[in-house]
Amino acid sequence: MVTISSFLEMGGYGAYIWPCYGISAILMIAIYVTSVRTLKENRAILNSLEKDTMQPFNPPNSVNPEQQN
Amino acid sequence: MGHFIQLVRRDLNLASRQGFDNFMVVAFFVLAVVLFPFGVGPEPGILARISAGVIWVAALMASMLSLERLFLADYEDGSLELLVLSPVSLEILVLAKICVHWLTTGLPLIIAAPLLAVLLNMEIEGFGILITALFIGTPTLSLLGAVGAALVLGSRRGGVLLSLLILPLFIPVLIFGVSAVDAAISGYPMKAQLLIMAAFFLLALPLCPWAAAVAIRQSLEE
Amino acid sequence: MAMIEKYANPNRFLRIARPLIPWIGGITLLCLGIGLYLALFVSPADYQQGESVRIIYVHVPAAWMAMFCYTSLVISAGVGLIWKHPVAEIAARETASIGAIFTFLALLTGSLWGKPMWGTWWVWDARLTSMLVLLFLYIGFMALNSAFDNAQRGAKASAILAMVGFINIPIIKFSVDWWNTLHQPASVIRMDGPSIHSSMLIPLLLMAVGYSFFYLWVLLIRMDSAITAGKIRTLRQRHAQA
Repeated sequence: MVTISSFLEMGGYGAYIWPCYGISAILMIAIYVTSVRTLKENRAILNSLEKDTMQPFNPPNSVNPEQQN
Repeated sequence: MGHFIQLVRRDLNLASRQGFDNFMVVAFFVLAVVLFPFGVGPEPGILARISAGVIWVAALMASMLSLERLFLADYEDGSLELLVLSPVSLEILVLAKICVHWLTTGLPLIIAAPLLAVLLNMEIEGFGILITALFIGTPTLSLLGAVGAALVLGSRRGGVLLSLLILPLFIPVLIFGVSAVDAAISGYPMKAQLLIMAAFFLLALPLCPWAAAVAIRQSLEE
Repeated sequence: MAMIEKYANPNRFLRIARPLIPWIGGITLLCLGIGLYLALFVSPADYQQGESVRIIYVHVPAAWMAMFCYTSLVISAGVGLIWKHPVAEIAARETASIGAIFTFLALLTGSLWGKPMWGTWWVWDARLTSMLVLLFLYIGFMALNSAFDNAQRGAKASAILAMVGFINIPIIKFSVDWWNTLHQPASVIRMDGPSIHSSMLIPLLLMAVGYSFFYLWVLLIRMDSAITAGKIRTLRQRHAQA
């Protein structure tokens, strides 16, 4: 059974392997978390705006307001 | 064809009225190359080794400089809209603009290049091939650059954006242009490099004016 | 054609996409979990590269995703440009940010792998150089996409750029390979079958599938968010006009 320290050492390559896995994980988790957070914020804003108008808003076929100009 | 020549003549006339602007591009080219000996030291061997690369990179930058103005003046004063409405196809008009860009930027660079090659101590075997390679390569730069110039019309911070979009696309021309000169200096055959550059040019000749025309049309849509 | 138009309606798209998101997330975590376990504990060390070969399990999937994302970016941008498809335009924009991150990760892990292998952080190896150029293409796309006050124009201009870039990719790849003949041949996708051992191939493929589903997962979340933001803008405009 390998010990934890020899596992972390990775035959002397630990200093290269762990940053690779670590930075990959950090960046991927970061993009996931920021995406989910913006989605939640946007949904909250949309809900409060829809409450003001008292009706759900469904545009026919558009996303960008610029398109309608 | 008549329209094409007319448009080339009109733009050449306009360019000749701003004579100093064209001179500035060449001045930038010379100055950029002259900076290198200050950067890497005046040792003739090193300068000769990097001369082809330095001249080519400076040529890319210099042709980049004047690209932003390619359609911008006509876009701002509205004459681009008139040109789009004219019976001549927009692709031909774009090609005329590209021709003028090459005549006012590429050609002066080619004329200045041998002088810079002397300053950088390039081997005499490289001179002819440097000029040939620039002759084949710089029209491709103007063609690719026109697409970028059309894309950034009406954007914020056009100039920097343009170089970000276009410089990566210049890499193949740079690689083969430098490789042809280096091969000639070390006595290897360089026909393949020149043929590949000619292929790039022939590929870009129909595709780039078309893509630039599409980009110009969408920039005028509103 | 009919199918493309069917999903052009953002609301219909969201109705179909939203229930899928948790499932895709589950598959992502499952693949990455098993893949990581196999990569770190089960797969053998290479007889030449030693343990450092384990970097392959995060480097190669990232590099594959960098190329896959650019392809899917070009396809969505093209659909958006030709059929004026709002959902495809959003997909192209959101794919660019995810793809740029994968490209950056491929470069970074490649560099960290290069230090023990080549003895230096960076060599102008053909594949690393191509990845670097790809990163610039992503950055150019994102810069052009956000350079206009009118988002519609940004989407169109950057779509044209994406297609010009896509035609150029084989040319750039060919030039860079010519320039650097030290290039190692790609060893997984080959006509005569994979040449690496299955104890390495299985975790590698699991990680690649996990990365692909991760892309899909984050993409759908970001598209949902972008469509919601679009609705907010439209509603606010109506409020202002009313």
